[in-house]
Amino acid sequence: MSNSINKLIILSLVTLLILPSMMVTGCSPSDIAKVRIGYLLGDLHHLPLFVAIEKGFFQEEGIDVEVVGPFDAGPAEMDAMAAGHLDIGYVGASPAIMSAARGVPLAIISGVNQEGSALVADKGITSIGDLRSKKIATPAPGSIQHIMTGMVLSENNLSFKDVELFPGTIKAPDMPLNLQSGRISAYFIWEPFVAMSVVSGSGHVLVNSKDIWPGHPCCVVVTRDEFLKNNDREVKAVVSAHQKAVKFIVDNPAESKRIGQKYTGLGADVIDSAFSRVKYVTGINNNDLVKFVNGIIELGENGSIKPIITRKEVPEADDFINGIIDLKYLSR
Amino acid sequence: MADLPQLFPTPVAVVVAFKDLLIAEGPAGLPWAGELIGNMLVSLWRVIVGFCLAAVTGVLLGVIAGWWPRARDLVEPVVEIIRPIPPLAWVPLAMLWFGLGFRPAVFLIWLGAFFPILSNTVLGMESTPKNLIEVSKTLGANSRQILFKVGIPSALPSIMAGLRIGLGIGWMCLVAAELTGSNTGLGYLIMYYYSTMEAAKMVAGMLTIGLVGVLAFIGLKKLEDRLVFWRELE
Repeated sequence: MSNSINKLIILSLVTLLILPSMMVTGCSPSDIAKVRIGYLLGDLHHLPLFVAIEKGFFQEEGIDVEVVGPFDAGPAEMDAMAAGHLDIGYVGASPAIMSAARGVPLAIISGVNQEGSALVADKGITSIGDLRSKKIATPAPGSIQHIMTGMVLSENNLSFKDVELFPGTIKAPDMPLNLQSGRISAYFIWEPFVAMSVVSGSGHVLVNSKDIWPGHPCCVVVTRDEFLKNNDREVKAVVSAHQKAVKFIVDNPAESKRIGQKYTGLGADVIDSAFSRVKYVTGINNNDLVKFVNGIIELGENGSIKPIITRKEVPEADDFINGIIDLKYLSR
Repeated sequence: MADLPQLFPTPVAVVVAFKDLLIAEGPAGLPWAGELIGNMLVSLWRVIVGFCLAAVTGVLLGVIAGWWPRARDLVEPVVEIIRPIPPLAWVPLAMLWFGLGFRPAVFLIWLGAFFPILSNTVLGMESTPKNLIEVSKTLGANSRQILFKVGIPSALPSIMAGLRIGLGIGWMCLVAAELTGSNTGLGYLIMYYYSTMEAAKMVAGMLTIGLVGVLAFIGLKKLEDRLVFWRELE
């Protein structure tokens, strides 16, 4: 009797130990029927993905995609990729860079957009100086919007220490409501969450991101190194479909906006407003990304923020960026 | 994949992370305390306030509902509907009602701790031995004396068990509460290092939560042994 109970205990302990490791290794990334793509929830920057799906560009290129997204923030998406559950990601350049700096083997295979973010404030705030000791929300620490918040504050002789910052703990889709209800005074975010407050009248664009850093990098298409190595045809097809979609957006803004409405569930006025700030491009300016990486490192070194990426991880930003950008699939 | 420090930090990395977090500057208002201890103090304060509110409201309502059947009939249906809702489901509403930081966290801790305290108090009051009540009546005790000298003392072990469970659940809710809409506390610390993909620091934060939870549990157990001293005599 007690013998069988012992056996039962041992069995359950063994199961307890084995089960998690099975979950980790269970999905080996080889022999994939479909290309698994992720994106961020309601992010209008990722419109090329929606257009490519809607217009059947992926099928035209002979591949089948499975959307495993939407994620509510970039770090979560990059974690899924690091764990091998995602092949292609539409994501901010920053989480991709951060993930690479931590040693995750990945490659940036195309740009998605430039600019397209803004610092939105309630109507009572008319200058950056008014933000002193106010509550400001940004995406995850180290995101482009977080870094640009730091840039715009320091241009006005303020620092992160002069405001009350919520980096990453108020999700992008929750920001407009928090502004409207007066919980926060400002937020720095991507579209369409800028336009939502602008159109509803609860906020206004205090600074457009392109006025802080013209042509600043934003979202990119990223893939795992392993996927890139073993699935040349699929990666090429994804990039071609993406390139077609970006061209389609530039050539057919009206129809693209309708697709944007469908995928974000927002009204035409919001999408119209958002469109005026986003630049859809496939190219990537390496120097901008180098500048961005150096910026994060320096902010950490001079104590403006907690060190996020260090010189130990990225001794030479040039080599690091050139090492992760692989634009050979883009046709010119 | 297993060699990715982003996913699986080594024990050594976690120890180093502990050290780093102890030295790094603490949250606003507590920079001297260090990042780990400072955020822990913030979390602890939230739990103390939320838990005390839950203890007062839960025990009070529990005594009333457990002693007078008519009160129980009023309280029970409402409680039974709200109790199964996980505190996590309240997070968005807590943010809308109470804003950011301290107040929504206290609300969620109160919510998590309140129900176990309430149900255990009700249970304890209801199971007051009938013969004790009868004896007290025979000896001429008035109803107030019966409540305070017989009912509540006999429910005390059950109330203390409820407080212990409530503290545990409150502590768990705190972390959930701090993951969103917060910029201080251990939950925020974990979320921050999740965002910057520093798993070792996340694990250090998680272990701290566990450690503080155990210490609080032991403290409450000690208090219980002192309050319910007669249990040892039986």
